[in-house]
Amino acid sequence: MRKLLSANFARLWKSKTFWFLLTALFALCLALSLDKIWQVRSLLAAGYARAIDKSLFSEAPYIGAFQAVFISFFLGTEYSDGTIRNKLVVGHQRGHIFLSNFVVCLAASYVFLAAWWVSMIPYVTALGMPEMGAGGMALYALAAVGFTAVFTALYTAMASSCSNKALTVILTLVVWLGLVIAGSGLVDRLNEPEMRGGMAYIDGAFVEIEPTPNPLYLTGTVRTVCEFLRDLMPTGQVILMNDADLTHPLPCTALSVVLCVCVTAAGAAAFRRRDIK
Amino acid sequence: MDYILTTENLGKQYRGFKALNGLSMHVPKGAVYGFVGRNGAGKTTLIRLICGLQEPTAGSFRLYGVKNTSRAIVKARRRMGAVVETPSIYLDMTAEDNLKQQYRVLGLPSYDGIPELLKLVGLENTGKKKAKNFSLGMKQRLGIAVALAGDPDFLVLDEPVNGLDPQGIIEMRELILKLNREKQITVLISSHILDELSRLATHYGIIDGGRMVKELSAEELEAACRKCMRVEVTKASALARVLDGMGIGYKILSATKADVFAKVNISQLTLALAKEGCEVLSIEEHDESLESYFVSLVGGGSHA
Repeated sequence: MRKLLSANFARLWKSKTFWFLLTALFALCLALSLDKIWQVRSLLAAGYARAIDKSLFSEAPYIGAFQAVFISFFLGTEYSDGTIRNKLVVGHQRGHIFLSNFVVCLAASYVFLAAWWVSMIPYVTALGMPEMGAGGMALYALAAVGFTAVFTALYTAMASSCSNKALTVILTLVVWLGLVIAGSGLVDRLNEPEMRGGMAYIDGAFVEIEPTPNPLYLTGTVRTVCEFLRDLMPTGQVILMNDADLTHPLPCTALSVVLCVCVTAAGAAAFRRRDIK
Repeated sequence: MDYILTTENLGKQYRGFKALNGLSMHVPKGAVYGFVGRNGAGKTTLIRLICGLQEPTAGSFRLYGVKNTSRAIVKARRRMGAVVETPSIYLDMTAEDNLKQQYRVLGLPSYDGIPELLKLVGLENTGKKKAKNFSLGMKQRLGIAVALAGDPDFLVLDEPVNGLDPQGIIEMRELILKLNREKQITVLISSHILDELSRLATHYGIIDGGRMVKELSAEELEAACRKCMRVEVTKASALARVLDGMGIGYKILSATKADVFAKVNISQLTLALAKEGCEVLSIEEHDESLESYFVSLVGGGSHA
């Protein structure tokens, strides 16, 4: 395992894909951060009050996409160049190969995560500390560490079970997009108000409409299940973080750890049974 | 005899298709074992099994006497190197970096052996050239260098001369012979290029339809492919009766022709045939090639 980690980290250090994606992610997050500074300052100048927390974490969804591309390329190369055989032929166990791949991809993913968080520095420096404070940011960082690990486990399992690098890139990106859509849908549905009301303009005057129950509002077991799924899914957490609505980062992190362990175990078991050409 | 690799009724089934069907083989220590078979016979499947890329669905094999189901097989595999189908090399790395990578995989403490290894395979002057820009022959040789990184004493090469130009084939042959003779590395080579194998192999295993048809040494093959007499007679059936009576091996080619695999006293044969009412029309000496021997064993339904 130590030998495999040494080999994988040496390859990561020399990986052009890794450095390119890291630079691209940092540049993207930095550009968005600078753009947010300008937007918030414009709003403040126009007299609107805006909590800077709301847009502090808006780059969260991109991490999963960059991870998908990197992990697909990094692990896909082992199949496309056939080098995974060099590890098996000399007697390395499949479980060790899978775990070492996961560890190195996780390390690379955390470097991506760090790049995103570093890109927040200009935003915080220009606009001041967010309302959640350093403690709140630390808890958000912990949740980000958790969902990044889940993405890594998922993509590592997928890349280890598909021999075609191009197909792996497509599949992981499709999964990421599907999860973002599903997470976003769940959050939107759970954010539906319980009652609907409002104002109407009738006969030249504003009249308050009597609140009525919202049919889209989820209740009972369905709501509990949907809340659990939202908190379990990495993209559910990502969407909540994006809106600075992640009210319970610690339980979310715990769920991420459990999901990460389960996905890694399932991925390793599938990889052990796999016929490799 | 010491065997590096033995298989016993080894089987591998992919859904409904049996790629290996009760294959038994014996690779002696120090041999260059030519594994011969037509495309789809099961050569690569066997190599995938012994390299641990896939698990057998039936039977077993032993590597250095260690059974494939034993936990010790992992250690036994550290003594082997393999190039399965295409060379397993990182295309965006130089030859030296590829070897360094394999050294790390093996946990070797120093890179001191790399220049010697590159020289052995003739890639010492490739410098910063990436493997993706190598010729096919260079990639094959780098693949072998990677396989040799752990200083194995058993090397498995799957179709090593496929796609190489004549010069590349000669270089590959010389490299394999050098490894076998100078470093005492046992080599298992799968190939369907019989002529090339016959220049290298000390032992042969002929496989067809996932089964071992025949295992024999180069000496036995030479004896089997010995010069024969092609005899043309008026009645091949009479010739067969006479040769059976004399206990001599033969192969009937047509109603009037047969190959006789022994030095025969022509006068005796002619007299014996005359008693059967059969005349000898012509006799000529004939060589049976490895190719025709292979065809006689597995049939000529498709290309070897």
